[in-house]
Amino acid sequence: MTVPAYVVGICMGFIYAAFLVCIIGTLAKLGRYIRAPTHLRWELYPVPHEKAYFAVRDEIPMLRGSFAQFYHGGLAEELKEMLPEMLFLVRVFRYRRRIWFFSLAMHDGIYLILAWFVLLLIDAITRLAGIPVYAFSPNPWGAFIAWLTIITGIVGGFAIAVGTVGLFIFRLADRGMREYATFREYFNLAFIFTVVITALVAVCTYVWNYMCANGFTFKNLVDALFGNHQGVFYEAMMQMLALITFDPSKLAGLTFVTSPLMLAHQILFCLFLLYYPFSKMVHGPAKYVSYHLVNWDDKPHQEGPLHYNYWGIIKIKER
Amino acid sequence: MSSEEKKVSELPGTPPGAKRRRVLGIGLFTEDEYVKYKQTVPPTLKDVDLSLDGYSALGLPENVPPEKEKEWKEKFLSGLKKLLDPEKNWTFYRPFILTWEYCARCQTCAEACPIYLASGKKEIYRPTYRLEILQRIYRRYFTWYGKIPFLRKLMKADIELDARVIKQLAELSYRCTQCRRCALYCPLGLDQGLVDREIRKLFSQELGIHAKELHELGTEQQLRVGSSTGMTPKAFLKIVKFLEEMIREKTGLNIKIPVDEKGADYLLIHNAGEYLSWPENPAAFAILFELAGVSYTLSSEPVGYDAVNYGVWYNDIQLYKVAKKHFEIARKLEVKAILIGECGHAWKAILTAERVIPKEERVPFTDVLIVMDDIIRRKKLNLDPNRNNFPVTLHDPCNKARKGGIVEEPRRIIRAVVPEEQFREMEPHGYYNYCCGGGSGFAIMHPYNFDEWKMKYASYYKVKQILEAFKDVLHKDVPKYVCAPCSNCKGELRDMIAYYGLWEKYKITYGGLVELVVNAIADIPPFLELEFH
Repeated sequence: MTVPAYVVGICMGFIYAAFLVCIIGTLAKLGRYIRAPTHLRWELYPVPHEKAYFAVRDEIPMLRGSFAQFYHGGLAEELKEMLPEMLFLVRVFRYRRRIWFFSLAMHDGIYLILAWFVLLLIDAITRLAGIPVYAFSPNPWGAFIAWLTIITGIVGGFAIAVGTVGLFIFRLADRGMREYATFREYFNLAFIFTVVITALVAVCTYVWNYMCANGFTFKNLVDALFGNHQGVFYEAMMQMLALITFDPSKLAGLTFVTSPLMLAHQILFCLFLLYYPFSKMVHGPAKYVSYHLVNWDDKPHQEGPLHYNYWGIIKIKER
Repeated sequence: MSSEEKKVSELPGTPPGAKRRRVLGIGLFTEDEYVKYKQTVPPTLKDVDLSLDGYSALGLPENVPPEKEKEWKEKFLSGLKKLLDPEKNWTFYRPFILTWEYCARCQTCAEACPIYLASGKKEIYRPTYRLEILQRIYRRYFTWYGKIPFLRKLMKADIELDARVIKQLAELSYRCTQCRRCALYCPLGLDQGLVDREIRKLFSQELGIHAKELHELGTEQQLRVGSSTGMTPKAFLKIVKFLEEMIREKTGLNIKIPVDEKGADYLLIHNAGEYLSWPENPAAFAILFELAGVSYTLSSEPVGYDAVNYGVWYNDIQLYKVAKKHFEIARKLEVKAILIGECGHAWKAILTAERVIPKEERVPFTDVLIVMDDIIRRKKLNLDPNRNNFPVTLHDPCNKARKGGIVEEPRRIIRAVVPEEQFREMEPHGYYNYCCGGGSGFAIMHPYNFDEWKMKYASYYKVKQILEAFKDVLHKDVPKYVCAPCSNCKGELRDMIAYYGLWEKYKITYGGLVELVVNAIADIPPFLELEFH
């Protein structure tokens, strides 16, 4: 079954729009927190970039220099704390191991899919440069990134599927989580799962049909994934090429990405992008604010309060 | 399922959830259970609402007239709106809105909460429970789906606001010590302790409901009389004289404690409770600073001799008023810095309130633990650790450690004044310590039957930790010292040692850190007496 070209065109336009809304929406949301009035100091130690901060402050002459030897900090300390937390969900591992595996699968799966988009972009640029990109490409770089794209995409996709299903079941099974979960939390998990599963089903169907037609060999499997001028990841790369060159004609002859199931997947994905900035799932970027601007914000007072309105009760004249 | 877990699920009342209908409001009891329970309480508690969990911290009345109920309801909803308003609630809007919007109810924080764990995992003490209730009320009254009856249950917008729920939520906000251990565990860096504080704030600033020990007898009395203990400037000066005599008697030193001396390096402000309950603490500071040559002064001006600022637990306006006074007095005395005594929340309060003070009115400030560490590292004293030859453990006050960043300093001090083999850590300690149970004002709150709740739930983990720290020396012949550089923690330790009989059974007592330091000064007679009063 083929889909009319104008549907593919509209779908492409939708991708641009959704991508823009997602980026702008997320930035606007973050901007809302960043631009919010400077709150009272409410930091939570250990603050990785500062230690005994108050003691090393030069403004107390009697203590000047006394604590310099204990000072260690800076960006490196922050990254040491934050990167493992983001990549491996250290706090969940330490304190709530029961949900850690599925939570890690889902979150790292999302990171892998984000990386996969970047890889597709690199694939497309490499191809634009005239280097053949496919799994058995004679060019080592072309072959390398093709394999990386295959592995990242497949592992990421399956990880998200496994993670979301696992977390969904945990939400239902764990009393503490079930009784506090709203409809929206289940909806979010189901939504992510639906987006991913449509793609996975489409990929598996394509690969299965290809191998049924051409024989069950390893070469055919790889060709169905990322062959020269065919395969699911080849088509994904071509779609990325079409998107970055604003040239829908690049989609001509592609059967996988324009199949009804894949179009449904793309529309769902776009809907997800549109929904994301307005959902609880934006907690990823918001985590930057909660750590850097709240828990680790130990900046001493510099300019005086910006607001003198307390609860609408006391209004002190601004200086 | 372990037997412990099974027991938990059999506890009466499992809000929120399907069984909520049989529960009275948001509390632990069903209607029948509550009626039966009320028949067992002493007459003084008959008219007090105990429907949350059988205890009362606020003494709210059992019966609320309809017009009062209507007023409460209106004010509660307007307060809830203000909490979410970046202008009116600028002081805590950012951290609050993050928790409000992003708490995913992964319940990781539940594993961190000593009260929730000590209660046998009672649902109402779960850290996310307060936020859940607040959001259900919000959804019920401020969202479109909350207005459609058949959607309320599905969307969890199902809490009807009435006097019972308001009273129970007010009580519930006084079942958390705001130790913020949960925030340390949160994978998203969110803060249920702050939610508790903000609920207290809503009740205090909007409905005028607060613990009388924190408000009428606390900040209000402090601003009116000079101290939350009721101590007047005159009484303070008398106590200073008494301290000088006490020092002379104990050590033979003739020390004149500086009061209202302009131009000193530090304005030292103790928690005024020290002067009344633990006078050896300010006396020890007088000795230490005299011998180490630290230039400081005390203030006899109202509020200037009491470092407490209970506003940090329940009310922004009171926080602002008290902090303003502290900075004003420091400026008047032309000191180089304010020095906060061994009082945890006073340290957190001055850190927090710093941003409400205009730049030109601000004075630098620091903590005595930091200054003591500096004195010891500069080797200004002749110290003999063997003077403190008894088992010692250190309780990190949450407000100094997790909320105030002071963890290494007290350890360096202890290593200098206590023989190495005698010091033992509690597990966990430092940033990850357990609250003593007296946090957020509980140490000074003794109304109705609230003490029993504190001892059973809030202090339980601390008692367990203390016993574990001393497990190899529990014998009655060995006196043991729990060092807590915080007045509130000391107050709570005093109560828990008495309640659990730790002195009679194990000879465990408690005290501050400066007492250990002064006791180790080799040039003067021993200062510390290991006793329990």
